[in-house]
Amino acid sequence: MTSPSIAVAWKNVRKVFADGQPALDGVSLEARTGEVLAILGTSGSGKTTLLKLVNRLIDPTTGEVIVGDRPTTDWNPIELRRSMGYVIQEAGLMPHMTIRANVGLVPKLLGTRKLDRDEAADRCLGLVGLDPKVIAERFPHQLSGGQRQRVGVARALASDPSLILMDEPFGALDPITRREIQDEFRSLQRNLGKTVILVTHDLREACRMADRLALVAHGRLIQYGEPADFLERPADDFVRSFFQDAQAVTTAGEGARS
Amino acid sequence: MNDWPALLKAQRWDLLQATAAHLDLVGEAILIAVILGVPLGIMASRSLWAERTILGLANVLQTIPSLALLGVLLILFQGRIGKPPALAALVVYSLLPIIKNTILGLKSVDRGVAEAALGMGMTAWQRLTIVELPLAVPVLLGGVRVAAVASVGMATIAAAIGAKGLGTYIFQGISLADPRLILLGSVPAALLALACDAALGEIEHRLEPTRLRRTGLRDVLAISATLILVGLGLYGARGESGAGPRSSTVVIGSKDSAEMVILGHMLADLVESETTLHADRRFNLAGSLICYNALKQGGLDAYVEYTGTALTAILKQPLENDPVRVRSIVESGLAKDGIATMPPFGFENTFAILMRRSQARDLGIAKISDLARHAGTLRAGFGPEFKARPDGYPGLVKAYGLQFAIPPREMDRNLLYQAVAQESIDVAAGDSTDGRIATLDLIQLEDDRHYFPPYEAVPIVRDGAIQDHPELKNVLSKLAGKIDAETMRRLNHEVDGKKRDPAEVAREFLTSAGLLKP
Repeated sequence: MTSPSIAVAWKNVRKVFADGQPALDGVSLEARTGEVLAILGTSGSGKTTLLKLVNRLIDPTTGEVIVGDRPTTDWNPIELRRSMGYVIQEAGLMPHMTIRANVGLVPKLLGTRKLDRDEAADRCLGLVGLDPKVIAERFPHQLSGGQRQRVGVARALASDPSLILMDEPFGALDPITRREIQDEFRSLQRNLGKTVILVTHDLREACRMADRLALVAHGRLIQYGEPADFLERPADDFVRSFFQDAQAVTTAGEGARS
Repeated sequence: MNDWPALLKAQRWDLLQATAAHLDLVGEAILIAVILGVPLGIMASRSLWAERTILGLANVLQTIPSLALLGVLLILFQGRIGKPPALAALVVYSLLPIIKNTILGLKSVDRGVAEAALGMGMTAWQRLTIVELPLAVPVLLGGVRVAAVASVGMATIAAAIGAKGLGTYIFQGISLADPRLILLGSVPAALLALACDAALGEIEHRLEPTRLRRTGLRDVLAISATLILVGLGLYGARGESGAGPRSSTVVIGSKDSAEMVILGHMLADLVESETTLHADRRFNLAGSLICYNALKQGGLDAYVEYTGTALTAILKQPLENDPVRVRSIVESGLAKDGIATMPPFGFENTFAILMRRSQARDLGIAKISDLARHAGTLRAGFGPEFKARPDGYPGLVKAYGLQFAIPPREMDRNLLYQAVAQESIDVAAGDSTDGRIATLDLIQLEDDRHYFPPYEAVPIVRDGAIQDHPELKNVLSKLAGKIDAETMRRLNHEVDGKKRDPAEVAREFLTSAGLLKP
């Protein structure tokens, strides 16, 4: 087995918030280039903190997070953030800008000319299955939830970053739309070869989209591996019960949100 | 009174000018308040400490009563009257709603949107200018709207310190007791407030990001209303600066009474007919202190003052009874402030003890000392101020040894004249130049012991104005000794009683006295 190239590495990261609340307690983890890493956990587990360490919305108390070849604390946070895509729940689109302007926002911050960024925006809208001719001049409130989430993905792709961070990206969608987008995104990711770090509490989403899973609870990494490992060789009773509960919930009613 | 059409026709041009000046005042104040308030609001939104400090200060400023604020601003502006201190007052009152709504608008930005902006790598400045401020604009405009509507009302008060606008009608109406003038100022002001509210409301609505863009009749109306308001305001701004170069203008002020306004018009008319100078009339200013400070600092060039008021209120000297002595004390006192006292017009406006002419004749009363013998059988009535002032009733009783049958009644000083005429009282204290003394057939008893201090009317003029235009000294002395109490009563009655335009009454007198060519 050849040694895989590492896009992001968390090295023994501890995070204690200003109010004294510990969020992460010595987590080491890797995201491999070109793969989808799903960070899975219940709310309060520390999974979102792990993600926000990557784009320096949060800095570690001790330990370090390596992006590219240097720790995030050596990066200018603005440059670091512009170098990666960021997709959040309910998309966070700018309500006062057209869809085209929303998608072209990061290229605009990077100084791309208007003509080029409009072209990039239209191309990315096409990638996520939207027709730019129809929706590019519309405003976010004129779109459906599913369309807005697709625009959110298109925005993350617009500057062609090699790394995309996703924080519960499809959590607000109805089950059918969610599944559709999950599948589309997965094939898009494979075609484009992007590295994706996906934070989710939804086991099905994690299994459907990820090459590798990291299960966190109470600020610790419980298990890390391919989805099959978790079912076949659960690290402990917590993993076993998490998988059973999650399966029960998702089977009983897809779309139940925490 | 059914002369509304005539009044409107006569005033239509002035009214348009006043409306334009009003709008200009409000517009400039709001513009300045936005330029100051929005950055303050942004600063306040960055930390709780800053928010508390800035909002606290703005709140305190908001609670200052308007006339007190104008008084303080006059001192800060070193006596300059008119637009600058008025603007400052409106800005002070407009800050709070603008700051408040800026903070509110910035806080109302959706959390997801704010996080996305941060996560995609926007700098703090980019987040503010690309995301937060544009999204805060509708809420912010709500604050501007509140401030603008309030300012249209507030700006009327600015006439108290000589700012042009619709308030000049209101103040004139109050001092001349003419409700038509009050309406002439307040109805357009109310309409203006409604128009500003509608125009800003429409702009606010159009900037709402979730609004579907559609152009219809409503937009056309809103845009044309806004354009008219802006145009009128710009016209007002032009009018204010277009008053001509300062060097060729003399600013004549007046306090807020019919008498003072009539005399002010006379002085201004004489300046304009005898010299090539333009007279800027700033009338109905709220009180001696505002006028005097403005005169001292150069905001006014001349106004009419009473010697007794100058002695007590301005120079803070004890009362004197000898008119000549009072005038010489005032003359040398004002000279220290660089102000020259012109010769008196020839009348006093002092307290007058009044009786019905018929009763006084029957009882043989001509002087206040005659009154002492009959006081035991007479009923008196006084205004609250006269009853309380040491130089009013208490002193009068001592000086003349008066003892009325029943304790004097206290009533509104405007009702006293009628009360004497209708025999519900026999003796009253009024103003010696009030027109009603003649029309109600009352007589003023002679103050034979010179109890009341002399209130001779005199023009007072800035030395600087005389140095710039030496001819002023001669022009402003032209009325010396020309107006006795009888004449002044008649002129006051034309305005107070017959509701005639004081400018017209003044011109008529000057013409009949041969001072103005007809």
